[in-house]
Amino acid sequence: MASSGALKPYLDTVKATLNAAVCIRNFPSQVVERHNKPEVEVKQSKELTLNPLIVSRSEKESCLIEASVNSVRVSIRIKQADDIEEILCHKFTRFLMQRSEQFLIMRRKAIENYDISFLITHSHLETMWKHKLIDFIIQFMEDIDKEISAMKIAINGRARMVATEFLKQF
Amino acid sequence: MSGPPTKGMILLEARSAILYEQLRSRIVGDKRDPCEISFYDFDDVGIRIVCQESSPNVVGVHLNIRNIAELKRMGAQEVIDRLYPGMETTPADGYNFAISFDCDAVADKEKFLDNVAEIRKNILGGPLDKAFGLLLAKQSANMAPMVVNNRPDEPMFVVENGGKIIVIFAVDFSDETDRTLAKVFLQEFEEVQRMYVRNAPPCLYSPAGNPPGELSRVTYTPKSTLAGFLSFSVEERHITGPGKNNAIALLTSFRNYLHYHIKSSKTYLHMRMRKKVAAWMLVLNRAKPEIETEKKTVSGKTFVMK
Repeated sequence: MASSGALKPYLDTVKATLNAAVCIRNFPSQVVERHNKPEVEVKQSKELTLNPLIVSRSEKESCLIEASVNSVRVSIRIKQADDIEEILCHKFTRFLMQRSEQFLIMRRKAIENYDISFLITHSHLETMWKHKLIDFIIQFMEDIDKEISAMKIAINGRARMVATEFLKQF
Repeated sequence: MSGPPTKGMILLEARSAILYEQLRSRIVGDKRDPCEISFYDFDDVGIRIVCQESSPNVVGVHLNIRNIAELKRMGAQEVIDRLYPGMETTPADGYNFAISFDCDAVADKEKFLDNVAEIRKNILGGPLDKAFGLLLAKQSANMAPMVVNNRPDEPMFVVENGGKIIVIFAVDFSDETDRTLAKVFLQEFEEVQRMYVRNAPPCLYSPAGNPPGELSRVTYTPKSTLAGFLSFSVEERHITGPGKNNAIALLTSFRNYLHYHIKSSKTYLHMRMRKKVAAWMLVLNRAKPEIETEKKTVSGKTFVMK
């Protein structure tokens, strides 16, 4: 596959960008007293959010990184080549997003036009290693593509067996 | 001849296990106590076994088949007359077909037991029985196309074309995931037959927007949730001898077989996703540094942090 050659540079770029973007610290809200909100979600003060950045591997596969002073939002668009990959991806991301509490940094709803989103806040960095967190996101991006392909192959294999067993009976 | 053998959990049986077990003790055995057992089978068919105290040797089997009148017209009546001669009786409330027989008077007990245990398949397969009979007798040329509505939005068409009987299934799913999976499965049927199982009737998958040519001879408006059509071209060589009964059993169970396996594939996907989530949780947990819960002083005193 020609595209697998382009996978490593894509992931390396995302990793480097995240390393630079996830430089966040605690920053209580400037607008409401005693509140502490992730600025990338609220977007109330222009000086606190940085320009969003898109790393794209192709038209269909890209990664949106939005940073701010106390939080970073990472949204991923996963490659879906045909109908079955589309429903597999949809089912999988829905499954993950329903369990987003377990994943701590996962967002319950993906950003529009993207398949899944993560939200990293300063409080996460207070309890987890930054480099390991970024490693997790990179590994996730790699694994989800592999998993969707594997599920598609498994479905085709099952369909083949189901058809063979039926037709063999004639 | 009983239905196709089950290989593990892959194939569905044509005969009702409940009917077989309950009636075996009466037809072959000598159980004669009164009973009233109701249950359901595939295709929303309701079944009731009745044995009155006043006539303990007489057993009634009542069925509720949605399209019984249509089936009788299209060939089921001949099957009933052949397999259950003179046994048709008034069905109970809530049922629309019944047979009643004297367990003491049954001639070939094992064979009759098999026939009754497969009563659902025999009646639902009436149109196929008629079509295959005509094909074997080389009189199928002018057979009128039959539209069999075992289920409301999923008709089965039985059409004659060029010396073959074409059995076409309209496959419908309300859920989009199911529809996509169904398309994968149906296309596999076509490919597997063409490449590997040449003895089986040739299969053809037609997408919802492009129905098979034979359907131009019937009035039919496809639903928007249609996944597509699968056509089986049955030839004489498929239905000679025991092949005829076998083909009827397989084709009447096709829709249920397909749905069963699509559901089991969804379960499989779910299990896979669970496993993957568990694996990712392990990776995420590596990101958390180990918090010291126990600290010791030089003199050996231990503090435990909860």
